[in-house]
Amino acid sequence: MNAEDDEYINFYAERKDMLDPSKPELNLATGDQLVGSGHTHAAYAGFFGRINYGYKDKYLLELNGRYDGSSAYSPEKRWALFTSGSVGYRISSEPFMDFIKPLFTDLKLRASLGTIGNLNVGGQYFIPTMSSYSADWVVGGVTVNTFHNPIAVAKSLSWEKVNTLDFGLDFGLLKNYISGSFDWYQRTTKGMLSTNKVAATFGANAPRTNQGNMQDRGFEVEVQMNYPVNDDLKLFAILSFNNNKAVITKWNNQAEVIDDYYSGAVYGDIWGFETDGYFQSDDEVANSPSQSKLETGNFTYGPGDVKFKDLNGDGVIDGGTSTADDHGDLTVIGNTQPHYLYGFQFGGNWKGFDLYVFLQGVGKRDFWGLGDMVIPMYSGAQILYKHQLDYWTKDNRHAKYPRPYAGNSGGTIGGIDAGGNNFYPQSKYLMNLAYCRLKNLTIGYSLPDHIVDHLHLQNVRIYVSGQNLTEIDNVGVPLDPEITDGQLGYTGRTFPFQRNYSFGVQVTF
Amino acid sequence: MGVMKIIRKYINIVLFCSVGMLLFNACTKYVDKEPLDAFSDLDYWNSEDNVKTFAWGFYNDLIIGFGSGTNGNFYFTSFNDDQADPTFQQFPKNVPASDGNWSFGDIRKANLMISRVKGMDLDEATKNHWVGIARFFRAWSYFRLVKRFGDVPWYSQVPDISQDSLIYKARDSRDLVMDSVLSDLDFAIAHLRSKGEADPNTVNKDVALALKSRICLFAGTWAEYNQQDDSRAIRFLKESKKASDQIMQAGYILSDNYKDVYSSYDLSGNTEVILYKHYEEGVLTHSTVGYTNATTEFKGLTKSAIESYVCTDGLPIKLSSKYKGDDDIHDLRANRDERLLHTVDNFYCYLGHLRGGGMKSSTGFRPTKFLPDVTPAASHGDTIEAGDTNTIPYNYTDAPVFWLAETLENYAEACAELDKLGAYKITQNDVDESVNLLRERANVADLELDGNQGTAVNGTPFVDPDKDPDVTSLIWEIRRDRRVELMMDGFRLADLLRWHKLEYMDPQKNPDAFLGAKVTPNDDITLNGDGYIEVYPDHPDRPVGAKYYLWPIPSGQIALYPDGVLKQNPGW
Repeated sequence: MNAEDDEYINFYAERKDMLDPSKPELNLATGDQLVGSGHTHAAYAGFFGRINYGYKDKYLLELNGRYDGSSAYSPEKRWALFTSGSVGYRISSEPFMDFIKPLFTDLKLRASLGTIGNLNVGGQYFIPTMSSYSADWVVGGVTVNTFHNPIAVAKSLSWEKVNTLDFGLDFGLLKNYISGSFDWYQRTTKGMLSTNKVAATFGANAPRTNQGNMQDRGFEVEVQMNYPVNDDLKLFAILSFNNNKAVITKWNNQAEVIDDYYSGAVYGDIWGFETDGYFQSDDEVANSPSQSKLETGNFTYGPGDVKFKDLNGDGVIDGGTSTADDHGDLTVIGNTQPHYLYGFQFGGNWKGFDLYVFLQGVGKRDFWGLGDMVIPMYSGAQILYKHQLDYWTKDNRHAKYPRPYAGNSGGTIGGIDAGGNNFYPQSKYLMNLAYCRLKNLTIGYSLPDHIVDHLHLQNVRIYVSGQNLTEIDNVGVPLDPEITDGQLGYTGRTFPFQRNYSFGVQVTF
Repeated sequence: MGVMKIIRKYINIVLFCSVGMLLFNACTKYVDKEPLDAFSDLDYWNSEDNVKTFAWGFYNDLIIGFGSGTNGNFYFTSFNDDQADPTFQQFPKNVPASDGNWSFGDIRKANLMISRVKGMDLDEATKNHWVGIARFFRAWSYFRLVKRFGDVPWYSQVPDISQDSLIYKARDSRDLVMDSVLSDLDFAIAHLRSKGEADPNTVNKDVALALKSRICLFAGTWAEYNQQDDSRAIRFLKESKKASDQIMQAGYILSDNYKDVYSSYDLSGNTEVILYKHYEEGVLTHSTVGYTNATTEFKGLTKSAIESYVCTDGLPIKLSSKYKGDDDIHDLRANRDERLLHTVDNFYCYLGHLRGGGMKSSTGFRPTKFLPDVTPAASHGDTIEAGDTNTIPYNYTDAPVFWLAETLENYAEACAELDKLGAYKITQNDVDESVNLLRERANVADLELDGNQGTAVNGTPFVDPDKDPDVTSLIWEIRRDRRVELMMDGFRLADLLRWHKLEYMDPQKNPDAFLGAKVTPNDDITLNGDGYIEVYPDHPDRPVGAKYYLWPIPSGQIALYPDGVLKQNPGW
């Protein structure tokens, strides 16, 4: 059996107005003093058993069973049994496979199937906890403390289970100079813990419950090569590649509104409009499908504004009822999940020199960014960034951005990300987060043994190294393709992505 | 030997199983982890202090006062005919996907509190007080919802997530909801502690009466002018009048100066105030002072608002011989209702004519009633110092939430409407005890009754030539007094809605709503033919459709319901 419990205690004290910033001590400050604390704990325990069987190192079998309990679930639903098993078959050991021997050193087929429970779901969502906050109401010179409504809980809350089916292949080629593996998997999450959309009349956020199932299918390939060319030159390379696609197979969303999951939804899909360029004249506005249902505030579509495609051909641009059955002119314009992830590492040693190169990338990923950096004048009459100066005028009809209009954060279409007027989520302004990055480049030189021995040392190596040195991308705005978050939900309003350069000497005594 | 072996084996199995059971029991306890740093619904409700602590959440959510940024209930509520926002404000064009006003969080809170308090070990009076507090705030939450959306689903219990038919129920009629609101208020009035018994400046019986006075005036006049349901109107107007009357008998006295309730650092000693929101320097501050004392263009008062102030003789400007015209601001302010003098500064400021370190107003008029004592005189200085407590967001003047002046206006209006509906005969005493107290404080001659719904001052009947022909002179004058008394206090839009008079916001019907002061021309502003500032030089239109009397239900909510269950408001 195994058991684990965690307890977190935090306590902080702060005092404002330091007399001398170089002596940051509580007793050397003069301002307000604040203290705060937090204390949480969690535990899980499990009984498990395993049977391993191998016959002549050719047939392999493993069976597992576990009985787990977690403090994340209510006493009634706390314990559950999970089983898994795997088989392996080293086919290269079969006499009838001898014909592959000249090429394959090793070839093994694998299959596994099993279920585990999610022990750590991030809290105890069966307990209607009440957290405190400070109200905007002053009594006796200070704001009073009060408590939020208890979080809504669902009696039905139970284990989130992950069932994985995996078929794999391990191989060694050419005296194992080249080795690798291939895996195809199907991971089915059953009873995913999540909150669904509930009508505002409920008066609270929906409780966490087992909302539905998700099926994630993908593959992973890794190939390694180690090749000593001669005593002086050794080369290596590692190539990895994977991709997956997760589809919701069941979800508690009867209306099938598109701002929640629904059966058949692809995890990470972004809904929006297809952009159809700009209106170039009043005539074009008058003769195009009406976009008036999209207007907010004082905004009226005119020349220089974005034109959307009337995908359902009804002469009106809208979002229908924002449901999977009736989504008007909305369509899936992208997916936020990274696809076709790859890494390529290679390098070698030659007479004391060593080289290491690591390239990493994502083949496809989209993102609908928010905030003034990615959407000109998103929150109001803000100053335009340099990249936003290419906007539509009568003399610049094919500009990157439409006619400037201040205030584009709110729209009239339910079920899609924020953005309004010219900046509803749409194909044209979708961020492209695909990239290939030179993640690391290191060049080193180790002093020859006779010099090192002379210095009575074991090893001396000088190196230069750089991280995140350069990348190929086409995000559309001057942001790093790996930055999607930011303060207030404003994409990019965060610390910039860093390039690191280092130079060093390693000495082993 | 063989038998022994079997027995030993058996014992081993029993031992193994026993150890296993022991371990399992130990583990069951091991994974039982109660929350350490949070209360839960299961262990919170054990003392009156805890209930009181929980109830502060309502104060946080529903008592906005001066707010904390630009969300205050005063000055920032400029979407009406009294103020002209520098950025043109329009009625909503389309149904929004979401709307934070369609929110039932405080209703859930109230229903939860009612149910938990009922189950506590407290004496009956204490329980009733706290149930009364919850029902008071439930009434207030529903009032906000009904004002905006009309029909809304009524909840008197906390829905469980499994109760789909309750969560996704259809909207109840506004009449049903307002009847329930009235019953909540009556319960609160019957059971809340009195002003003397309750903690200072908390919801007590008087506060519930003041809210009832406000809500029932709204419901009564809405029924009269939007539903043409006179019997319903009479019922609610009588309830409003009764509640106002109880406040008027409760010992509150108007403060000497109109401006005191809007610009004091501490309202605890103010005899007019029923409930206020206290602000504290460095602890809880607002920006209402700052935004009328900054270089951000003011949401200035309109020509329509300025001209609604009568002269000291009690007569509208078109009738009064004391009116000196508006060629300059000193003439404009001469012999006028003192509330005007407290409300706008004695200089104009606008683009091309900045004053006091860069101040400008969309209409030329600078609002002053929220400025604490040092201003407006000190505001003539040329610089505004950063960090000054009169700048954004360091202001800590207290905000009135319920105060006598509003109740007096409610009383006068309810009496006049009941008189018009033939359900009550208004007396001079009614007027003297309400609006005339406010007029006297503002150094304006008393309003006198003249026959059936007529008006007079100093014994001479008069009718304002600008009077809306739809209403009687008495109602016109009482509405005027309400408008000037509660100028920029967040009531105007709701008043126009309940009177069915949004047309006052339509520039075709009320051009003065888009005009400002009569000023000297310059290159930065546009004046109309008569020399008044045009706040919106490109003449945007603001036609008023019937649908604007109710806001649209957010489409994102409708989509969550089975087809046709959550119905959209008419016209949207």
